Amino acid sequence: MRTAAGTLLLALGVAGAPSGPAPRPLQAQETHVLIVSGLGGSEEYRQRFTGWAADLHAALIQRHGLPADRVIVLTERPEMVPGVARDRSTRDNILAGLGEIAGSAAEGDRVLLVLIGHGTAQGDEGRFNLSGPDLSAEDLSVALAAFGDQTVAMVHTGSASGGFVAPLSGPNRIIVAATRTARERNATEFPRFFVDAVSGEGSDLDKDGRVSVLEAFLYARAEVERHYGEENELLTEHAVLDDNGDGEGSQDPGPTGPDGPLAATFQIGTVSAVSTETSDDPVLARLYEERREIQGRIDELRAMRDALPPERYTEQLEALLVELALKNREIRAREGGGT
Amino acid sequence: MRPRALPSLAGLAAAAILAGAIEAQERAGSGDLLLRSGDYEQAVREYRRALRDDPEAVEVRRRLVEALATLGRYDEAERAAREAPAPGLLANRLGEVLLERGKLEEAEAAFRAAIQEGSDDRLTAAVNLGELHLMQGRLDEAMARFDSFIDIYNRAGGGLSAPDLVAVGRAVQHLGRSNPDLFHDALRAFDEAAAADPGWSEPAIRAGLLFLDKYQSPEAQGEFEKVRARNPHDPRALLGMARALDFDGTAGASQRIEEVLEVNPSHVGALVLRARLDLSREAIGSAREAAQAALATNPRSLEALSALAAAHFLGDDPTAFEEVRDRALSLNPRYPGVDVTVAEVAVQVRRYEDAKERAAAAVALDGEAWKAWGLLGVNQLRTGRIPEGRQSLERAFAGDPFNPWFKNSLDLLDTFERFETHTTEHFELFLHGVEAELLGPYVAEIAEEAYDSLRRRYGVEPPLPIRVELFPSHADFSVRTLGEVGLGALGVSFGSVLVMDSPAARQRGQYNWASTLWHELAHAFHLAMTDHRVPRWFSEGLAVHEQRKAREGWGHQPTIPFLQALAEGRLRKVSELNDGFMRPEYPEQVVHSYYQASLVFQVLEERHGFDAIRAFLDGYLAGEGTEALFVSVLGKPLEDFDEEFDDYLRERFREPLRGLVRLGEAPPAQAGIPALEDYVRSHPGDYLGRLRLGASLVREGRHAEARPHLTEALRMFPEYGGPDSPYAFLARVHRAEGDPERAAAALARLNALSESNHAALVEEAELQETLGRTEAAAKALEKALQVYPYDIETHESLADAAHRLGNHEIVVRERRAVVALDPADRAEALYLLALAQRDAGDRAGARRTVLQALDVAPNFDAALELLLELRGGTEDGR
Repeated sequence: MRTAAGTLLLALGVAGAPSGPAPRPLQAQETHVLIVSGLGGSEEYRQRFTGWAADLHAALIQRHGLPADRVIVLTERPEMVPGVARDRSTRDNILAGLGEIAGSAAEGDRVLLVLIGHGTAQGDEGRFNLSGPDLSAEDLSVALAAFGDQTVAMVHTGSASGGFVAPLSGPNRIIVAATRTARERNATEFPRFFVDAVSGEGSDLDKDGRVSVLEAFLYARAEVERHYGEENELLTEHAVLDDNGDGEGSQDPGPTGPDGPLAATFQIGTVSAVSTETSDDPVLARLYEERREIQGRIDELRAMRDALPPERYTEQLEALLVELALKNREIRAREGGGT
Repeated sequence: MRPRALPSLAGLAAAAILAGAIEAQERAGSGDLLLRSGDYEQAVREYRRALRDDPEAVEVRRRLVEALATLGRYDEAERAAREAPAPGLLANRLGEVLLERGKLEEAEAAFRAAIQEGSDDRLTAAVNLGELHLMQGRLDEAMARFDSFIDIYNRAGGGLSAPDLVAVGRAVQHLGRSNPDLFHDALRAFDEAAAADPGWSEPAIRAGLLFLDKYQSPEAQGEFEKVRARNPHDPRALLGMARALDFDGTAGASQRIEEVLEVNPSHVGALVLRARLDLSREAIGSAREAAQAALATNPRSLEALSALAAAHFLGDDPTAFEEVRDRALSLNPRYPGVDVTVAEVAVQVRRYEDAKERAAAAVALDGEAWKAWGLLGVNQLRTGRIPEGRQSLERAFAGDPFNPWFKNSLDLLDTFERFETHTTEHFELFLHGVEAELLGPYVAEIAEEAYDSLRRRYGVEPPLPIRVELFPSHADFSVRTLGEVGLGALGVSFGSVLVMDSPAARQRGQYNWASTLWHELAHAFHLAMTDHRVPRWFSEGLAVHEQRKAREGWGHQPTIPFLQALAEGRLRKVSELNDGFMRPEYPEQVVHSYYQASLVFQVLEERHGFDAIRAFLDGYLAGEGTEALFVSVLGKPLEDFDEEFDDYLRERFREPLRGLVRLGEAPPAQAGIPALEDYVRSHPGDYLGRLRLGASLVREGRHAEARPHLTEALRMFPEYGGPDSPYAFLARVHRAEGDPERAAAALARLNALSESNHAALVEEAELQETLGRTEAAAKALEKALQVYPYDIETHESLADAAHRLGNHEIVVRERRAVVALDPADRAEALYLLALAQRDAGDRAGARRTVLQALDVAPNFDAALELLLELRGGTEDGR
């Protein structure tokens, strides 16, 4: 069993994530999701957008353990995915869905909004295409203001999504856009790989058993680049992530910032579904605590990496990793899983 | 009566004189029209008649001299000039004619006379004199004379005539040698001259030559075309066009030269250019003849002497070369042109060391010979002397900042810091940092295998180490090779320096880098064995032959256009194959020549043994020519072999040739299946008809109907391995019919006829895997990587296949490649590499790698366990 809740806490400490609401105990944190597939404009895109929304919905529930009632799906034609889409993806329904989540989300909860579809821009103002009135960045800005006590991740996977970054950027917000600016208006490949990241196995880059928004972003960005390379096409979309509230998306975010630390802590799934870091067994509880302590030392060492000679760094890292590996064996033995 | 009659007679005489003058004027005007429109013979006749009426008409005489000289009737021109009643006024024109004949001392005297007499063309005489001095190496005198033109221009305040402005432009152009900004002023002077006399060709010719000198061929051609629009026979415009076309590497230069020689059969410039073109196609004998013909007109032409010297040099006659070079240097002790010319043609025949040596000799003679510095630099780069090459190029570019090749090459050299050098036993692999880690192992493997194979076959070693440069940008490869973009080739061998596209430079499915590397390395052997004296057709054909011997499907293969060219008699004879590469008659002829030349070696090796090929190479080293070698090695004249080879081709391709005979009007490209069926019914022996119908039926999913047509097409031309080969469609048919066995067989056959069909290779691998033939799958995947090594899935599939086959070395290589491709899940990739290293017995490497994986993902359980295992397998892992 892979557990990394300790890493999560330590990552927050080491990387100095932006200040926000004080986290509740992990098991109490909940994730609320709104998935929107927008106006396809053609049957091909309609099918594609709706299919991705459904795949994402399934992955969040089946793979990441989210309760079905906390994953709302709105699509252009709900009848295409019965049992998945709650309603049509209109501007009013989206705003109502966000209002509903705002009403139920507790302090410290996480809110994930994923937009799948075509984006456009009027000047520098981004819009997400829907049946009826489009959704503007301004609309979302107003709606997201209700989440002052929650961490919000807004993932706009469509064209011209770069226009949503600056208007929505703020404290305790993670804004992911498939394009760097509102001027990148070609249909994007990003949503396909973002959905892959959430539903597949290859995006757990730090092997902690979960996928963070940062990992999903990095995976999708790399796959988009590879896709364009393999097709011998010029890259027409440059995904960005902003989570330090400066309104500037980074193309290369990471856990040490300037963009990326908050996204690294935003796990897409529920923590409790994949991790048992506490136990009524006092021995096991102590072992967990000891493991967290080792993980903490590893993170501290990694943070100092550039300040150490490479050989010394590797030597110290190896020693800590051996400690961790042995501790894992102890835990497994105690949990009854053998060594 | 008589006195009375006198006035009448006088009156009559006066009237006659007046009438004669008017008539002479009319004739002169008519002559001018004829001269300017290119009817030189008729112009001569008109001018002669005009001069009979008015022998003192200076302008008429000047133009007569010009017309005669243009026609190459130099003796008559000289006589006409000397017969002038006022010799001073014709002195400059006389000097020009004498100069064209190489009578330098007399020409100098004539120019000086024109200047001293204060002739109205004294400025032209002055610049002629300056150029004469320049030609003789009297640089200071020449430059001082040219320098005075700046004052002349400035003082004139816009009042100079068109000829004087041309003289100013020419003088200032020479001053540009040490101050390149002055080239702009020279061009301005020519433009002003053109404005002053719009009907006169000289300013446009001069401007065109200046543009050409500054590497601006399109602009130069624009100027020459202006002249040709007025006078399609103007030899200087025609020659300028020929030079521009040659400069661009496009066809037509020879035609223009012939047009010049139709006007003036002894035109020195045209004969010299003909010699240069002959040298570039390795036709040394005819080059020598052309140069000698030019020298017959002007025995002191430095350009003609340079061409002759180059012919002797390439003909490996050092004594004659030195003798001619000495002749040139006796005329001008600082003349770098002979060595520059030799360096240039040496490059064209791939003798880069010689080019370097000659360029060095040129700069030793004239430190301001920027072209020579550039040639030195570029050839230092070609022979692997990178720092020295950069230094020479920087010097060249400082002196000639207009030169795009110098600039491009220097810009490229600035990027070299992003490359890495990987060293193997015999090679230095120069790879771009972004792909060095990925490509290094594959390139090293093929390079060493090829080296070993070729060394054993030829029994020699080229100079070591061999430097292999791979450029992920085709433009960079082109600049590295030519100094400019636009090269169509995939790779080039400069001897022990091989320069190639990396697979990133080409579309997937277009390029097999391993095959190309083998080809270029074969050149390195052939060039080394012959001291770079192997003709191009021989080296190219033999290199393709080596590719095909190395791997099934590598190298050029028979295509439908090739067979059509064969059927239509558009292939070159073996005796003319060099022209197929150097002077193709149609664009595809180069590609056809590669394949054709490779078949020559197939025939030679099959019928005469490999020793015959070796004997040819030895003969080239000894300086023997192809014709003589056919007699001495094969015991038959080359012409006989031409016939023998033609018979071979027609016999070998008898069936497909029969299938390609045009039996009727083929249905149009957009024709549907019924039209194609009708056509095939009436022309069952038509290969293309069968293939088109079969392919159309496959596309419609009518597989059973398609099969007989594809099978018949296959029977007619079983060697065809293009992307639309019957095998490709038959594979789809078999697959659709649920017969993976036959589908795999069809794809395997297709892949044995083609080196770069990536999609077919991957598909074959999948099918072989499905059939449980892991070894065959691995083989197909290996081939796919030689086309496109950037696909992670291919590496993973090959790693899995190799793992099943127990080939740990390949698993490690493939897992390493996945890491080099920087996958999103880097920790996983490193972990799998560590496992592979462990399985291959490299526990230390595995430990280092698993630590890298854990550095990315410290909580990676499986990797932590592997770390413990690698630390000795002890229970506590310490």
